[in-house]
Amino acid sequence: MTEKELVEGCIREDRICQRELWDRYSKKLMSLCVRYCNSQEEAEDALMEAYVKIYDNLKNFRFQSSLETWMRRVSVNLCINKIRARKHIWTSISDDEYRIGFKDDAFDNLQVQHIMKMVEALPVGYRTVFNLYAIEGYSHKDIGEMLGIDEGTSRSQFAKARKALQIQIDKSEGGAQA
Amino acid sequence: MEENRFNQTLRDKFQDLESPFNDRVTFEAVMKKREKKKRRVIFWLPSVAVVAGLFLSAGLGYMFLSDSNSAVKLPQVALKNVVVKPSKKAFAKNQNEKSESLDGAGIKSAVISSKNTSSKSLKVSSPVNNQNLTANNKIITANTLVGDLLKAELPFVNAPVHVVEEAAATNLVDMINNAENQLIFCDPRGIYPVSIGMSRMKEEFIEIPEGEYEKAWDPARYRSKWYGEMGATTGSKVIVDFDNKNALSVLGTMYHANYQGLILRDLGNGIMLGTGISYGEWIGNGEWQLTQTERKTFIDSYDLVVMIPPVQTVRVYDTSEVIHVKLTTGDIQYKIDKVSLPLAMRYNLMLGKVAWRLAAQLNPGITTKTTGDYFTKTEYHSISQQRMFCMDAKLAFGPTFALSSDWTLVLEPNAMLHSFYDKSGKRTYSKVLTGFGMTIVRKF
Repeated sequence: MTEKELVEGCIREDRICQRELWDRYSKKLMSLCVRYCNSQEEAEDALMEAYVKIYDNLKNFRFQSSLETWMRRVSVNLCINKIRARKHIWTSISDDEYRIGFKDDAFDNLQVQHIMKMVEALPVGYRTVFNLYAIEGYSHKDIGEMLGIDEGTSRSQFAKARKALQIQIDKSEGGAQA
Repeated sequence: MEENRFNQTLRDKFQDLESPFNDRVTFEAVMKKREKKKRRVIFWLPSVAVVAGLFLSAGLGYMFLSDSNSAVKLPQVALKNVVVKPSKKAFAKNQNEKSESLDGAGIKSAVISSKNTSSKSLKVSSPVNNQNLTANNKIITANTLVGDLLKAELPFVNAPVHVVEEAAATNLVDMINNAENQLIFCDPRGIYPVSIGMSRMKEEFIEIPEGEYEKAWDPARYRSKWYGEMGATTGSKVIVDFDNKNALSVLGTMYHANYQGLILRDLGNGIMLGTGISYGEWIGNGEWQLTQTERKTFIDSYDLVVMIPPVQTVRVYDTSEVIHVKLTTGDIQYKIDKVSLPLAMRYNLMLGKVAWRLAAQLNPGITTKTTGDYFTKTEYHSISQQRMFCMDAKLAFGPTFALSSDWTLVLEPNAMLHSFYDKSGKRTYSKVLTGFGMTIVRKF
């Protein structure tokens, strides 16, 4: 079934198409929700809510991007709204602190599940900005608008996230060598 | 560049990553959630529409009544008591004024044509719109009617001054309202009631219209009438024990919803009596907390070596007492459905320009279904019986709005007593809940 057929079927409320949409993308979207949410249960709830939103809003999908990209965006927005509702306090750091040592090949040799675990362990603010910037590819300006924070705050959160990740990588490498 | 490579590496790694989820997360669960969301919207939309419709109707009804003061409603009732006897002084003053314009003050003048007959009464046949009043071929102004003419003596005007054409309705209504000995429920327009419950007017306040309007006059207008009433009432009460003196305390909320249909008989003077059938739900839910305190004594002992010769060991006992507080909590809820036969009394009255209604009623009945445990703020009891005698009472006072000549909306802030008799416990449990209700009354 092509993407177009799938979307049109879902708009017609065709159960087969709706199930196909679930089977095809639910696990991928779950991995996205897990990265933004604080617990597995919260991520599962977010996933279900995201799918409700997706089914309800598929008629607005204009095929300007891939269906998966659109679904990811819907899910990200939902997770962001949840984070905003929690009223997280965002902190900035000075410019000097951006210049931290981070090896660009730091993740090359790491399993994705291992990286995922490290990302999940980050504090909410770092994790959210890290996910949005590094993984989803949003700019700091967009992130600032999405989260209702300054562009600078977004940058500093990302820098802190990288720093925290570097410490974790160093620790795990040190542990492996020992 | 470094950052881009780093981000790209991450994106590649995460692009196709899949995470497992719990069994409760299924396609069916999502669809169920979606259906529930849709149902929620579907449920609320009609409710909101109904409430909005009621308020809109009430508003329009109110506006209609307010505006219709100036509308021409023919035929009309002539009232004997509206006897206008202006004083010489006032009349003389107005003779000089000739045709005085009052439109700046929002008061319109009216035309009175007088005829030379022997009667002294002014028969107000219709509220009308035209601009001037003439008496004895002289133009006088409407404020004369409202002010000076109303209570003044006019011995030289020995002719009936009959308003035959249009006059300033507002002024006439005011005039009639201000007339001495006028019944509060007397509607100057005659046809449409200011409020319900206005039957059996004293005959001296009613005069059958003359001439072309006589045929349209229905004397049954002021006879006793039957009314039907449909109403819904809700209310709540918070149950909370802040004293901390009782071992058991309950924090909960009680709600009720009552729906009833009544037939009411208008007994006159604004009083109605009636009966009908009522169905009610009385629901409570909350949490109980049991506080148990326990005193525990701990005795520690240790040996103390006294180094002063002769060296000896002394056993020292240290006693301490701890108050251990154990809190046990649990959920509690009950639901009582009941059917009753209300005995209702209604009293309609005017306060200012708004019609109000005082409603009192007793609802003796039986419970039809009971579940859960009934609670007060310091105790709870299981409800074991399905059928119990119950007695409710309602007291409400609120404004009424005539939606049309037959339909009236009543808003009812109220207090409602709910009680039931527990045969097995030989106790009566009761609570007063306060809330809001709405009633529609239909005249037959």
